[in-house]
Amino acid sequence: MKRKCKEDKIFLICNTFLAILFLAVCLYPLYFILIASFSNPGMVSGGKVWLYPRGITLAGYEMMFTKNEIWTGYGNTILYTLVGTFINLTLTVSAGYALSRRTLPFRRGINLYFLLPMFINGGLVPTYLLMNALHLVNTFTIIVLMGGVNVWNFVICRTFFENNIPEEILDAARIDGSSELNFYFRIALPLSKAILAVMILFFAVGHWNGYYNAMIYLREESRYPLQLVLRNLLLTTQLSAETSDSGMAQLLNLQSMKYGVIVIASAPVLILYPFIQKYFVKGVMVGAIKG
Amino acid sequence: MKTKNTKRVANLLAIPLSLALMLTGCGGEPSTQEPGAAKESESSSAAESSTPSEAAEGVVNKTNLEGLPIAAEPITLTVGVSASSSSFQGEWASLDWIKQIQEVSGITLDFRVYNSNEDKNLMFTSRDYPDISFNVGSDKQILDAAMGGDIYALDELIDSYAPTWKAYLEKDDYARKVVTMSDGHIYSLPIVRDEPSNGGLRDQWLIQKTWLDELNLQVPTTTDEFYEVLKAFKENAGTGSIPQDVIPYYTYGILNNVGGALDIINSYGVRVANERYMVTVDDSGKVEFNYANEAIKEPLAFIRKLFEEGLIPGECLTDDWDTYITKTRSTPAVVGSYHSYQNPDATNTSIVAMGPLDSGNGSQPMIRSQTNHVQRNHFTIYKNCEHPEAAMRLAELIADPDWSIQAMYGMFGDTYLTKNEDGSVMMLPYEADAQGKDSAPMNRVPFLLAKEMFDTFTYAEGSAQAQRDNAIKDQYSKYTIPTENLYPNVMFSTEQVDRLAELSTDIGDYVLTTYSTWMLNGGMDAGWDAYIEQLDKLGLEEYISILQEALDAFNAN
Amino acid sequence: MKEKIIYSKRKLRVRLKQHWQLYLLLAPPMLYLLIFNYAPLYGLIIAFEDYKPYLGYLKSPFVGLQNFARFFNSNKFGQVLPNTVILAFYSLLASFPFPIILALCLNYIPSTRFKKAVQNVTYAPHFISTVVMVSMLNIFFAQSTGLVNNVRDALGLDRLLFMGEAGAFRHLYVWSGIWQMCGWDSIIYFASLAGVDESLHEAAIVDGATITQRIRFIDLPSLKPTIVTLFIMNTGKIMSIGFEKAYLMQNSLNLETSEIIATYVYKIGLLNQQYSYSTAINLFNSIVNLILLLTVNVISKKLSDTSII
Repeated sequence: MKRKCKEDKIFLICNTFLAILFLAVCLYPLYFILIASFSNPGMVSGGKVWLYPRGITLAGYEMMFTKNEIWTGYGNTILYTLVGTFINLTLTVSAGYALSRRTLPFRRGINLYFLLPMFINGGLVPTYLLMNALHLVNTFTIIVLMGGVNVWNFVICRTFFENNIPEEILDAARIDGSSELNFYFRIALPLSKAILAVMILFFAVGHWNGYYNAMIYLREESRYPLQLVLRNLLLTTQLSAETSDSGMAQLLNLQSMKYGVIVIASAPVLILYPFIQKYFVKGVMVGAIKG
Repeated sequence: MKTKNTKRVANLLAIPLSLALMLTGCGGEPSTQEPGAAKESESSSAAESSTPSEAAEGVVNKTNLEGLPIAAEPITLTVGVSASSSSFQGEWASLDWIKQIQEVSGITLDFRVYNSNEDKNLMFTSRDYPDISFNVGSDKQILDAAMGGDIYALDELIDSYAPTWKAYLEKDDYARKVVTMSDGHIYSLPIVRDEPSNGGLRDQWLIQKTWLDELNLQVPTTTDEFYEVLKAFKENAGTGSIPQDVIPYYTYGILNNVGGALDIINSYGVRVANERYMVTVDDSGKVEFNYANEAIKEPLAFIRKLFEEGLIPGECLTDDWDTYITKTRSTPAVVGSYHSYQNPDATNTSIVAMGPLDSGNGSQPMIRSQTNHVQRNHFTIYKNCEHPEAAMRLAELIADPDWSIQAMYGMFGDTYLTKNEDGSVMMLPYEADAQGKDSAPMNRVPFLLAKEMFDTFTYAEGSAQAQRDNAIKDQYSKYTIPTENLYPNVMFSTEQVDRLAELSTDIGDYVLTTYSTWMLNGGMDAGWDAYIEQLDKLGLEEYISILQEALDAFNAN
Repeated sequence: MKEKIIYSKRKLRVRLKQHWQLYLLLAPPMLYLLIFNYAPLYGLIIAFEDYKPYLGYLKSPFVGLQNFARFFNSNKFGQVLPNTVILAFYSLLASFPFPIILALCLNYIPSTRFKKAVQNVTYAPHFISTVVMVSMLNIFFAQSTGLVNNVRDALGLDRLLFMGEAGAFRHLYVWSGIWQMCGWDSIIYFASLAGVDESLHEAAIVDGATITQRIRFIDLPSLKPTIVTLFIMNTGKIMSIGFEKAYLMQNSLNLETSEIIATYVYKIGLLNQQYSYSTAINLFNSIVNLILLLTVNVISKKLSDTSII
């Protein structure tokens, strides 16, 4: 018993040390981004900004705050994220659950049907032609629908349900005369809050950070999500530098925006995390079974 | 209890189900129409419907034949445009220039913005075109679209509705060659900016005059003096205004056309440029690839010496464009000498432009100019456009000198430009706090700024473009490589484009890697023969012959 | 176990009827995949054609395997294939353990507040865009001014041009990736650990098990299905390793290792509108991915009784 305590103590000390290491390694570069966003871009790239901001300037932030499209982009992104995540969740989680049920006839075949799209796709052109024929190009619908079933997350969900929903509960429910859907909504989902939280996070962040579908399918600038606006903002083409005075001067301003953009764009998602976190607390499962 | 549950479940299910129904509903619509055929019939029906309205005097297809507005009845054109450098301009629809030209022409422009190569590719592969496009489309894409009958050959439309463009293309033979495809037709209008202060030189060679003065040194005129000056910068790091971490000489890579070290090589009389395909043209019209020419070893050895002694940092070979911009524009200055389009000191006093250097090997030193003044594929009309006449008249309107110059530099009286009473235009110095006020689409619309336009155009003293203009006139003009010696903006066939894609990537990457390694670690003399041998293996001969073939066809056009 | 056998012996019709509500759940996502993923598959045909937009899918000339042959015979094939495979495997193997270690580590931090703080901070780097990530690498590893070289200098070591070192490219690529993704990837493990039955731990403590023993005999076994599943799926995307970061980190000095299939396809295929060629190379990647996944899946089924198919 004594030996155990000592061993655990050593473990806990090492463990804390490890956690501090993880923390420090991630924290410093983040801190760097923050101070860089307030510093003279020449000093940042010249390797003079390491511990505190130098040549303090708010030019980058000022420039961002004058850009209306950033704020429209913010609004669009929030809308895309909310609706898109809801669709993702509905489609992916229910598929994951249904295929986690070992007794389902044709399970392997359907499973394969879900997995194959991870490897083979027809490419951009036929997809685009189809979307165009469906009149979905340049619409809100396409941005929230694209990637509706995420195969990767589907597999994660399925694995989770397979391993965390005890068969005994299902049997008990069946004896009670509960239907399959009833069981899914009333028992399986409430037992899986942790995975649902993860899925919400994965999907929401995916939508938040996504620009590719918008780039391909949206033609109207007023519909652009934040990330696409920011991406276009930071594209420093050499062409613009070759054309005029303003080109050159603005390029320099863009450099001070580069880091500020990260701050502006990721702050809301960083705030989201603690809300998700509370579902990772131990005992959720046990409590649910007992209740 | 049970019914209540079922009801709830049914509600929940309703969402994915209705979604599914909606999708199948749409899927049921006919989606496999042949795009070409559909467009053909559309445009012919448009032509038919226009016949009755011709009854009105001087109106064709809702378009006034003369005067403004262009549109006799409301016309809307969808316009494919590129967002590639929209960083400083805001949304297309919100630009002053765009708003005003819509008002004057009576044509409503409905923009479709393309952000990347991917979505531009999609526009052409899916054949889902706007009515017209500005700067969207590569040679290959335009050629393919022309072969598919998806775009108008513009020849007749230009003849009938665009006298300014017609006159320009008749007068400027180079421009005509640039826009004419191999079948003899014109499928796109170019963007033209024949501004002497732009095309007459690629990069100015800049040096910190303040530092030279502090060290009692003259602006170098020979390569040896340049070397001594750089050494002096390094040795005096930390004294006066020379910072401790001084970078004596900074270039954006070695062989980059913008910001690279090519003008050192040109100083030795070895003609190199990298605007297109790494080649130049000799006086007899033959394509030359001087990166495989023995004569380049001498200037390379000089550059190697600068690297070896730490006068150029190794980072030059790895830094990206952003770093080049921030390092060279850093305040206080850290870079002693570099190459750039524009002198950040518009007064040309603290930083001055220096000439190409005399290498002492007896050759006349050279410095690069550029041939980007005419670029094709900036205005295309697609077959689904119902008002090609109006579209062409719009292009003609943009070609008006006033509209063109304002497209490039912003509206008169707004930020940079003032128009005097005698009709001459003056460009004002750029002010940094004018950011965000930019109203111009810049070089993304098909404007026409012919050389004559700049006869009545002046730069206010203190503007950076004025400094550049002066530097070209006073210092660089007698050294610049004539445009005939630069590889022009030729047209390739689809097969040539495909083959060149691979050859130029393989050869370009190999030359770059080899040169960079030599500069950093030496080994040029020992490695030269192997280098030439490998270039042959990679198909240098075929590469040059394709370029020669296309050049000959271009010249014969 | 017994029950399963009984199920499978029942008539199919009965079983179908019993599970119809599950099919109801499956119908919308299956329909979705049919429209968005399976319907466009006909596009793959252009890998075997010399595709011209104006001729369309059906009329473009059929060239058989010529596009594939062109890729295999290209000057760079011998370079980009090994580069891709090495980079991807290195990336997978090196980065795989870290999220698991992080999750287990935090699972045994007594202070909830500290635990949450670490989770939050380690998760944040995921939001740094690739462009800024590469800029930061450039700044931190710069030869004359970078932090890393400043430290080396202080220790009396030479300053190195890390970004231009072909040998350093893979390490920079992989370890910056680990730094960026470790916290994010550990989320799924946090969630799985939250599902571990607390009573198992209670019992183990009563039995006098140390923390290390509890990790070994309780936590890891319950993480196993997630670990194995993620590993299998990661192997299935080896060949599709992303283009953007490698492309941005690429320069003339590190091309020897930084040129991978994705960057090469971008330069040749996408920038030059060689649709058929790009499609063929992507198809090649997909097939290799599929083969890798199936192989790993079979192995895993034998060794650990976990498989994803």
